[in-house]
Amino acid sequence: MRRDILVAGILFKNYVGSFREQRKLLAFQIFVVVSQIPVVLSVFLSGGHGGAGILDVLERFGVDKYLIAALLSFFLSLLFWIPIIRGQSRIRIMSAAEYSFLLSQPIEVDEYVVGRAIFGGVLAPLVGAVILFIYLPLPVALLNLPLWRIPLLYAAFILLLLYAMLLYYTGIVITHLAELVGRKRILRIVGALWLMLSVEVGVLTSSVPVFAQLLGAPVAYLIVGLMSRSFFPFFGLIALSSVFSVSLVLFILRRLSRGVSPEIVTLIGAGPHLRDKTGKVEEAGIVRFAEMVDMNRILTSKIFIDLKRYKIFAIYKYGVPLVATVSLLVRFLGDLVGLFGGSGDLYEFWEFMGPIFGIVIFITIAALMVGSVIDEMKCFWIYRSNGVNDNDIARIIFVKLLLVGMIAPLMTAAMMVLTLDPLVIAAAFVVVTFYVLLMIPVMGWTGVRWGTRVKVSPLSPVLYYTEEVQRDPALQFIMMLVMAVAGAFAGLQMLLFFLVISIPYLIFVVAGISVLLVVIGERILRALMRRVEMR
Amino acid sequence: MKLGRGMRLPVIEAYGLVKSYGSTVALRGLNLVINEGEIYGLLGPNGAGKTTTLKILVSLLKPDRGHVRIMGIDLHRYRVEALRNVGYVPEDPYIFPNLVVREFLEFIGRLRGIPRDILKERIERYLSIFDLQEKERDLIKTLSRGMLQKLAVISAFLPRPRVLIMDEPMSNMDPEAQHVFKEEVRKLVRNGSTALISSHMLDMVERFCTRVGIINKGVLIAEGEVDELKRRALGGEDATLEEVFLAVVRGG
Ligand SMILES: Nc1ncnc2c1ncn2[C@@H]1O[C@H](COP(=O)(O)OP(=O)(O)O)[C@@H](O)[C@H]1O
Ligand SMILES: [Mg+2]
Repeated sequence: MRRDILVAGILFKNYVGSFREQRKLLAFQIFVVVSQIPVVLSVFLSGGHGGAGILDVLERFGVDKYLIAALLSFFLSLLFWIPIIRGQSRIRIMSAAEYSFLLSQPIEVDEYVVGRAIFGGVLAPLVGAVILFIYLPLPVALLNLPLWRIPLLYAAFILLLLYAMLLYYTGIVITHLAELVGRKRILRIVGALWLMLSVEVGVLTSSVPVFAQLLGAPVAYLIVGLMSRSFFPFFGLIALSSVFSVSLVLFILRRLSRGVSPEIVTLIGAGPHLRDKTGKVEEAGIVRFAEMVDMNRILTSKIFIDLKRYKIFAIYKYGVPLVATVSLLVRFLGDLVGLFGGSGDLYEFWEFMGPIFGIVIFITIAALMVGSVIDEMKCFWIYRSNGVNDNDIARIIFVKLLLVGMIAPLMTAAMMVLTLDPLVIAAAFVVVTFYVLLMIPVMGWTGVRWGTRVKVSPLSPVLYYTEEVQRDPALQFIMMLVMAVAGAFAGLQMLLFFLVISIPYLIFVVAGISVLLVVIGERILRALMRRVEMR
Repeated sequence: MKLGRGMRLPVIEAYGLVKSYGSTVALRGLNLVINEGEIYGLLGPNGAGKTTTLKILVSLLKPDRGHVRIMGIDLHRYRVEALRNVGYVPEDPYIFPNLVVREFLEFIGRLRGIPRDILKERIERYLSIFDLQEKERDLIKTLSRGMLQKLAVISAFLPRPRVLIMDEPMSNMDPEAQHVFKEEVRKLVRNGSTALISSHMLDMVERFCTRVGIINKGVLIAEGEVDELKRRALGGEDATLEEVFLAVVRGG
């Protein structure tokens, strides 16, 4: 067992780097946590009534903590079955260093597999995804739970992450073993049967059947219990059996992987390009640059087709109207059935949840924003060696960032349609736009720093979530910084939202400052472009 | 020195280039002068500083010290004007992944102000000689490394620039494409262009470059025509370029 932990530790080192880098990282994580205080603060300032609102509304829909725990159990179990159903018999890693490290050291495969599960489940999130841990105390704040729940929640959460990874790896190892004895197909059929039965029985009985929850149950009930006001009955037993299940799966994984060949590990080449299957574009879809004269038009068209082929405009055309329509529908149907019993609860619920959704949407969009800049920066040599001046590059990058970023306010506003309150809808739009404009220089800077590093493979948006980040301390540094800034701004954004709702004429003030931000943002990008070096 | 060569105009001039990346010093006072009508081969082992030099010459990097003139124009002060004369091929070309091949070439052509009809004609011709006709409507992200290199080379040739600066342009090309590439460079040079090509592969350079410079650890340690360099090495006239190279690099 000690060697597994050693392996996990070495992997950790491999991805995180020297101790000095780790210290730097730690400092930044603390910074991130501190920067999140405004978010938590704004929850307390809003009186925590949002939490109660959420629960009431959910309960009216028949969602109680039992259902949530059952669903979580199902999803956890699903992690075990997914590799089986997909027939995934390989552990895929991205680091060549890790790959050669495995093959050249006197380490048994089982030690490696368990070590990697520990690394991936516990250590990697600790480094790469601090954000996961930051919001953990939120339910405590929302539901006025006793503070001693917080450390327990952290422990349970780590247990959950570890368990999830162990289940997933066990699924892979079992598939691998089945492949070795030529029984993979049968195994896949069993997996598919399990999934079908779970869903079908679930839909027929409107509950989650026991066999669908089996693997995940103890840990899921543990964490949901800790997050709710009253525990489940026999909570001590649940806690005990959680620890027992994790140990058991750990033991089983270790036993099973003794029979596995080292080929279970494959290196996925982070090659220079992601190959697409459909490469050809219809003649009609091709942009005729040769026919264009105006330099402005040429550069802007280039940005537009880029976004079009990234399907960004599809979100504008279909995504936003769809969300707005669904919001309206939910509202009218809900009113019809009397589901919301007056609009009080719902209004409060949504007023509270809106900005949170806004942030979630924004974080997703932010990855896209950075990715779109990275793509431009990797191609910076084309602009520069062909004599395009820096101001023009800055302008088109600004336009690109804006077009991607504006998805966030539009989506948020579309969801706010649910309230049927023009003020809330307008406030959401204006405030999130303000936030996007604030973030453009930050995202631009990140994209420039990131995109001009030759070592990084341009997997663009996905980058945020991959091991690529965990491997490169400089990228971590950048990401931490962005998260810190985004988090701090997000908190401010929520405060601003509540402020605007109570003092409506502030909308005009915020809109005015936004116009100013456009000018400032472009200036900052110009300064950035002048300094670009393609290292 | 042969008579007349010294009379030619310097096209690329770099004096006292120093560049470090953190604690790694990549260039330590490099001087390089390339004259009109030359096909200059910049040779050196991995990590010698070839790529760094070429990036500085197209202002993708700023030197810590030293300065550069292209066609007599100060690169630092008049970047856009100086680069108007340059076609550049990077070591590992990353090209707009969401454009198709023809869109990219037309885009470059328009940036360079090539008239529409001439542009179409040239694109057609280059696509055909580099065997990329089939790929005309393909998204660039689906191309292989060799194809990307060919595409970057075509984009550099397209405006018929006075100066070609190319970083290991043949490293991923098949022999057929290498042959076409050399022919085209010769043709451009006959019509008044000058080429600077870096390489770590010696045989590429032997019957192609008119002059060769050998760079090691960030300084130019030998320079001359291929025959001249051979004469200077111990092996005499029969020495292979490889022997010259090893002798010079090891001699320090
Ligand atoms: N982006 C970079 N960051 C740090 N060091 C670099 C970077 N690029 C090049 N170097 C270092 O600078 C030196 C010269 O590299 P380079 O110019 O790429 O050489 P060459 O092209 O001749 O192989 C090498 O020691 C290399 O490791
Ligand atoms: Mg190089």
